[in-house]
Amino acid sequence: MGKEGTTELLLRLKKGEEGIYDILYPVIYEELHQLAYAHMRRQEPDHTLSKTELVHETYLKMIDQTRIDFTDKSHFMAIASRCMRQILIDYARKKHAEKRGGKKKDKTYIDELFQNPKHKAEELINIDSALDKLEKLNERLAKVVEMRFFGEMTIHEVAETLDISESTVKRDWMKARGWLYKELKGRFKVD
Amino acid sequence: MDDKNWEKVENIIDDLLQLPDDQRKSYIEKTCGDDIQLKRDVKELLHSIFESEGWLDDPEEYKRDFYQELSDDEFKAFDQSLIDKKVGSYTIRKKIGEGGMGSVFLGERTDGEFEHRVAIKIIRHGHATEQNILRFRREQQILAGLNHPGIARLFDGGFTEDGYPYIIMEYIDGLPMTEFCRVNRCSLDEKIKLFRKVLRAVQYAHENLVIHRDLKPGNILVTESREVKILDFGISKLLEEEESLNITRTGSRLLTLKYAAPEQIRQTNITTSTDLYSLGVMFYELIASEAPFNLEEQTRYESEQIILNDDPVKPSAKASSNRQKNILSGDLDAITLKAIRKEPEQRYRMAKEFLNELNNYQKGLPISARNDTFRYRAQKFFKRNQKAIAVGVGITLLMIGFASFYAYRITQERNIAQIEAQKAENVKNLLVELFRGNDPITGDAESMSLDQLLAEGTDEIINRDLEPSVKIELLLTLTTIYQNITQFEKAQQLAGESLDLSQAHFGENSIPVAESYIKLGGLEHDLGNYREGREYFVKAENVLDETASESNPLYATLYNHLGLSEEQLGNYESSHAYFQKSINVLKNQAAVDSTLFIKDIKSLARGYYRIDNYQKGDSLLLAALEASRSFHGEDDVITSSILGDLGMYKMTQAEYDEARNYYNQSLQIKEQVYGDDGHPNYTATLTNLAVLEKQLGNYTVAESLFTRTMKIDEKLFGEEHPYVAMSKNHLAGIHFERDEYKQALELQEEAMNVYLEAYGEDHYYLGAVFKNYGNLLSIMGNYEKVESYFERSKSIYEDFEETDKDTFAKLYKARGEHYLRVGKYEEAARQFEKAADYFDEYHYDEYKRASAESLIKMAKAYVELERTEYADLILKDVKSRIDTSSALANHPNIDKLFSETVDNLSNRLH
Repeated sequence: MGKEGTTELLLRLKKGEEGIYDILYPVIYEELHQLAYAHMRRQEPDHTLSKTELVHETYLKMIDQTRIDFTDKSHFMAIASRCMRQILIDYARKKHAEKRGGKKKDKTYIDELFQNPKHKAEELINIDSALDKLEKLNERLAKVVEMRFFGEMTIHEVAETLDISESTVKRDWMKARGWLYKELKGRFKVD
Repeated sequence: MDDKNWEKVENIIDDLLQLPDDQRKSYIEKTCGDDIQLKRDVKELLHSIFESEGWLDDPEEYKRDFYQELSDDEFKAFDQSLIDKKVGSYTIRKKIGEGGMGSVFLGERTDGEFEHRVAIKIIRHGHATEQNILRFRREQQILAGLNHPGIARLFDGGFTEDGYPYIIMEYIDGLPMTEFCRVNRCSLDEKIKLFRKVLRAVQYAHENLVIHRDLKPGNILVTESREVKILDFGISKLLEEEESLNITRTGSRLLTLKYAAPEQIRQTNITTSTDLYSLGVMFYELIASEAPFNLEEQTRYESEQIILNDDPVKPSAKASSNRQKNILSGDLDAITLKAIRKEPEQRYRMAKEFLNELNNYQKGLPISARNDTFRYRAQKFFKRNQKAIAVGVGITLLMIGFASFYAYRITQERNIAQIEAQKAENVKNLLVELFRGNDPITGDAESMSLDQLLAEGTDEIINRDLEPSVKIELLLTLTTIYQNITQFEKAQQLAGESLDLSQAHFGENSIPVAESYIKLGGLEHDLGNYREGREYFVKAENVLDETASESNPLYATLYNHLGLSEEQLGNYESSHAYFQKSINVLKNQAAVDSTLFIKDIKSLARGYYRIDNYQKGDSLLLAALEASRSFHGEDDVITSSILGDLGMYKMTQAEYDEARNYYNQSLQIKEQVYGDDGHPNYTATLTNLAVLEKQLGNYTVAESLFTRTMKIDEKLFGEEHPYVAMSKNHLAGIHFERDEYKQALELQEEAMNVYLEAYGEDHYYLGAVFKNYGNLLSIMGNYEKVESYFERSKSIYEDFEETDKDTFAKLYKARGEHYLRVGKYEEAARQFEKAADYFDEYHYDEYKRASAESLIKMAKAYVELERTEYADLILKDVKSRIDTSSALANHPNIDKLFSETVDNLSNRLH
């Protein structure tokens, strides 16, 4: 599907047409996934220097920006945030599984580079399952985390998508963060 | 948490988050009431919210770390697949290392019997585009050309079948330097020795225009035979992505932050000093056993901020024992901190500089990283000579040793003698250098003993039976030392001895006699006896004319001194000519005495300023400043005195902020060099700053500056010195401005007497002094001698061609006021009229007011003379001035004086 196609879908989603979300979601997921894969695979030294994050990058790649307004962008980003969450968690699970089976990574002096004692994979899996739990308590809080953390959307964008004030987004974020932290602390050392 | 409670909890938390801190507790009590479970849930979540602050807040970084974890594993599989594959003519045997760019493998090639081992680095990222390949080859050519025992050779490079770039390097069996030192328990000396090898290798690469950009212990291996080998020279550039090539930088994310320089984090220009920064961090780690910054617990962002902003502590502060602390503090602290300065231009710019510092350190010579204070140099001086000289009589023996060099020259064969003479010259220069910065000699036990040593050394020289030329040389050197530490009496005594000895041994017409005269004259000059000084210089000139050729370098020194004398004595034209002559002599020398040259330029500049050629003056001074900075250094005394002059001339051009800025720069250096006890060079600039503040009406600041200057000068020269008088003169002016006439009069009188003694009664300086003194006497009602002082002031002003009209105007005004006081109204009116005329030639607000004031007072005199029509005319003129000039409008003094006089006039009329 080309730029025109996805842009069209997004506009139809905005009009409230039934079933569009289910068409759009896998398209975005696929694009984002490819991007993420290439990103990690290539391991470019400057991949993290790029100003645009993956979700934004996907948006730029998939949507004809001349045809949509800010609200549409936010909706796209919200979907992409969800995709991003799923993609990251998939990777984390895979890695986590390997780790349990594999041997401990040996470290050499050159390994000082990129040495990373923080086990993000494990933590991400924990966040994901805690988020599922939070969703049952208050769906909006989970969504705020999804958009802010996984989608790296701005507070303004999140407020726009959820149709709430920015200060509510900020409070939601604090509550969700506090709750997740409390949840994870029991199971996993959060740093 | 109970799900049923959740909604309640959330609502309460919402409210709490909007409440100020101190109200939260009571709100919880109020809303939860007796519901203990609810209260606990609320408290728990609130606590958790605050505790988790910052967590998940940087998703970008979080993900970056996560991707890294992922790729680590992926690459492991990739690396595994390479084992036993062929790369170039080598077979990959096993992985021996891993880095951000890729992994390093051991490769082998068998040529018959001989087995060749290499290290093969395979780069995971990067693409074999046509452009990349071209560039890769080009860079590789350059690197393959690096041929130094301290740098691991690059044999080959290319792309694997799958398109990954690889590099084949010399295989080094060694340990990273830090580890090597730890394992082998290297001593500090051994560490420095190894480190110097590293610096030599880096110097070689830098000279071949190759920057490493990722120096770290892992890249610097030490073999069992203690050979240093640097790996990966220039590799990071080799692998750089094409697009970032225009700006010299390296993918900063690839860097080991621990050794990354601030400019690498900022991604600005990478230069050789970037490498030297990394080496500095490593050196720090080597000697302090700890890195300058602890980055272990920090996120990448936090680490970057630390590197960009935090000042490292001295290595000695991390010492584990007092002994180690003592060893590190001082030079090693200074060297290390200089190497890791944030600003590249403040660091060692070349490996050679760093190397020289370490050499100097190990030899006990002064290092440049430390401030040039006297104490430091003295410490070095004695430490270094401790071995050769019995402790306690350091300087005495040194002097004798020095003398024997000369004796040696006379009896031994010529070439050895020349070497020794050179040594002697060095010793002499060192001695002078040592004392040029006058650190507190008194009041400090450590320096006291130095003073003692110097005194003993001096006695020794005087009493010893030495070869006359040697003795004279030593006496003159000591004279300079005592002069520099402002012990003028002792200096004079020594110079006198030198003169006597020279005359007795070489006769009146001899170079040593001329030298002695110049010294004696210089001392008189320093003591403010300018005419006596000039007499000596003239004697020296006569002697030189008889004995030396025109190009004798001594003429340059002599002319410089004569120029200074003439300048002080107000003979500016002849002064200027002398400086020019001094420069001409210097220009004809094979080796120019740069210090003298710079001084001459500086003096010439003064001449141009004096004739109001500011452009020429500025350009000469700025040239002198540049020359001095590069020749003497940024923080040198001479540099500081040029800065002081710049301040002075900016001040005369009314560019006050700029002037203050130059003064402060100058004072900063001088404070550093001279310490608390000060020095004439220091007080000179302090005085000028004080004058500036006074001029701007900041009397309190000015008063405290003058007082400080005066006290220091008194201690240095005694109360009778013109410098002290100058401060008093200005302080009198400040008291005058505050209407504190009694104090003003006292100070003015003291200053005047000293000036008369030092300059003679015809000197230009006395013009203003006489005027002020007369004015004060008049104000105090002591009328008797007032007119004679004013008359003396006027005749000095008239004799001096360059006297400006405002100077006369001020005198006329003061005179007019005096006549007004004593009821000589005719004379008063005449003086005021002349004053107003002269003031009117200027456009400064201050002078506009002075003119108006003179006119009103003139009117006042006419009122007294009953010539009311004149008075009325004048007052009308003043009124129209007040109405049209912003300088006069709403000026309380003028207003008051004006309305008083108008009232006066109307009283007379009615």
